[in-house]
Amino acid sequence: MNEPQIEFERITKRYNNTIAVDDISLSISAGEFVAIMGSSGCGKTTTLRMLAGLEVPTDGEIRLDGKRLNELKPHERETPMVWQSLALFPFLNVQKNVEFGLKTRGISPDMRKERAKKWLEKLEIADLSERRIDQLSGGQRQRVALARALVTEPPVLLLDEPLSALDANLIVRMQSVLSRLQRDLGITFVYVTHSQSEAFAMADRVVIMSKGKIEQVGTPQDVFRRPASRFVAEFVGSNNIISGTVKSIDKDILELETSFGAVFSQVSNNANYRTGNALDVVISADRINLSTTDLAGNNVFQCRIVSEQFVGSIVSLLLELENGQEFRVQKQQHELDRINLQSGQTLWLSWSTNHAYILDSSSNN
Amino acid sequence: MIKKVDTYALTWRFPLIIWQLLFFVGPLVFMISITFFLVKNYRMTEAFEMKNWIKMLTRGYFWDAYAYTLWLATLSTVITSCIAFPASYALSFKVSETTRRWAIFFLIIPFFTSYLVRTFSWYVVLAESGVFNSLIGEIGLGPYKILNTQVGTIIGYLTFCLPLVIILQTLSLANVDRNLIEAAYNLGAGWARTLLTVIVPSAKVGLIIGAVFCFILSYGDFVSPYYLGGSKPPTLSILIIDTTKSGQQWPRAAVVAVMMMSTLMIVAFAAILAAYRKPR
Repeated sequence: MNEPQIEFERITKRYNNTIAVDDISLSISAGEFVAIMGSSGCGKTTTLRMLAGLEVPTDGEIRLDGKRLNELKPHERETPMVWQSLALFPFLNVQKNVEFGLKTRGISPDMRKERAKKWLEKLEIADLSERRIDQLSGGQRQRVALARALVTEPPVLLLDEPLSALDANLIVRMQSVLSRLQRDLGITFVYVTHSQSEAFAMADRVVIMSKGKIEQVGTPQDVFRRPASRFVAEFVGSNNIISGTVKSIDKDILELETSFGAVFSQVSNNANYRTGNALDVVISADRINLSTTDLAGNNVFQCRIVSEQFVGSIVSLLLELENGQEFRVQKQQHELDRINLQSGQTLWLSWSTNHAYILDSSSNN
Repeated sequence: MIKKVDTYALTWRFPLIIWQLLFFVGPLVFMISITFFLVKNYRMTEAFEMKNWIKMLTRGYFWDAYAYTLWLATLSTVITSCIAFPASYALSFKVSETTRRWAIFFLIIPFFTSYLVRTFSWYVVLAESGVFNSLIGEIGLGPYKILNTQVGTIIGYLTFCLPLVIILQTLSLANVDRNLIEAAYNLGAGWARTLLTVIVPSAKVGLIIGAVFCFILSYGDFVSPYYLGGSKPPTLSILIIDTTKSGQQWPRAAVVAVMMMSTLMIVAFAAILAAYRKPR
């Protein structure tokens, strides 16, 4: 990887007695789309605001292109932000909103007009330039906010849950607008969200935060398939987390003793597990197979359907083993048509040994 | 479709309508009709003549008083708003919510006592042998004549209007969306530019309403120009008193009052229009 563009080095933010951000370090390369994700109060917005200079870190150093940012006032930085509320100026029309950042930089009126026009066209809202903000729809406002932030052609764009006020289908549309924009411009996007689907849909890398600390940094696939901790596995959702103790290790197959029987998982050869260790195993809901007949083999368990949730082409099932252990399963609708399930029916669920991911036990506490 | 009369809504509106008719529309109509009456042998008699209007509006002293009142009220509005703004800004952005609440409470307290009493208490401070002059006399300055001058009048207006204007300004500044202020900083605006191009336009309604109140109160006030300003030159309210005292000229005083009312109406209407004007 090339030189990092943005660096957080051991950043801590304390308010009186509470710690909002607790000693985090993070490097972001130029041109990356990074999503910082977590539930509310996890410190993700504070992290973003420190980059914009709207909060001052208590400890540590923030750098942009190797230059220390800590002491720079917000207006001395090139880190425009798109707010959750969008924060468009209601007393200015679209054109003047977009020109605001150019005006503060002392750019001539002709030049301002030209550059504002260019960005309004790029965001396909050129015909709205004379409108008032209260005459725009949610999606249009979104585009104005983006144009206003991007018109100064910054190296970085910060986004603080910009889509959370939109309705579902508009969110999907704006996601593709944002993705395309980021690819076309080649600038860095730092995107804060609580929505897993937004983060996974757009980001090159996802940062998962909890209680002011970074839980995991990785590609969406990494985070989804190989969660670094139980917290991440639970946060990413649609995972089944099984706890047990190691019974035996035979070459690369680990046998786990659980409350409902023996579970087998593949492990890499260099892994250091000992018999008697407590472990958590994660099986994604979409990795579980269903069958109406008992299949011989490992990781096969009899269960019954507790509930069924139909979400478009995907069906979410809640299954229960004989001992009460619950499993979440996601299947395509057409896959389920094949097994023709009826409610209350007895089924067998199974998963292959290489689809059970063992959580790093050191991060379980 | 027949429009049904909503008796419930009407019942609740009724007192307001009655009140407006009895105490605003009624007296206004009465006052306007008086302007056409005549005074004969110190007694008002019903008539419909333009004499009073011609008499007042062709006199230089009326227009002098009119211009002077307008000037004093404008000066008071500008000075009060300018003194109030830093205080309101500090109360809105620089202190905790608890402090703001206490400050607003203390700003209401002056209204507990009569404005007249507060005005008279200035005598003690502002007289030539008063507190102020003896204090600055200690450092070899003064004494200055403050009572019975324009400065005295403005001090009176400030006593009257400043707490109210600070309250109105603070309420609107405190409600300015903090995100807008941050967005301005974020887009490269320094403190002064943010104040002028974002905070002031955002709080425009409250700032204008505050100024309008100050203008209206100063414009119609009788106490300050009379007791602190020495009533020379006279303002319109002093002119009304003088006119009624000299020969029972109620109709001519009514002309002055109607002129005052119309001026205030125009100013208030224009100000509200400006406050709620949509951006182009």
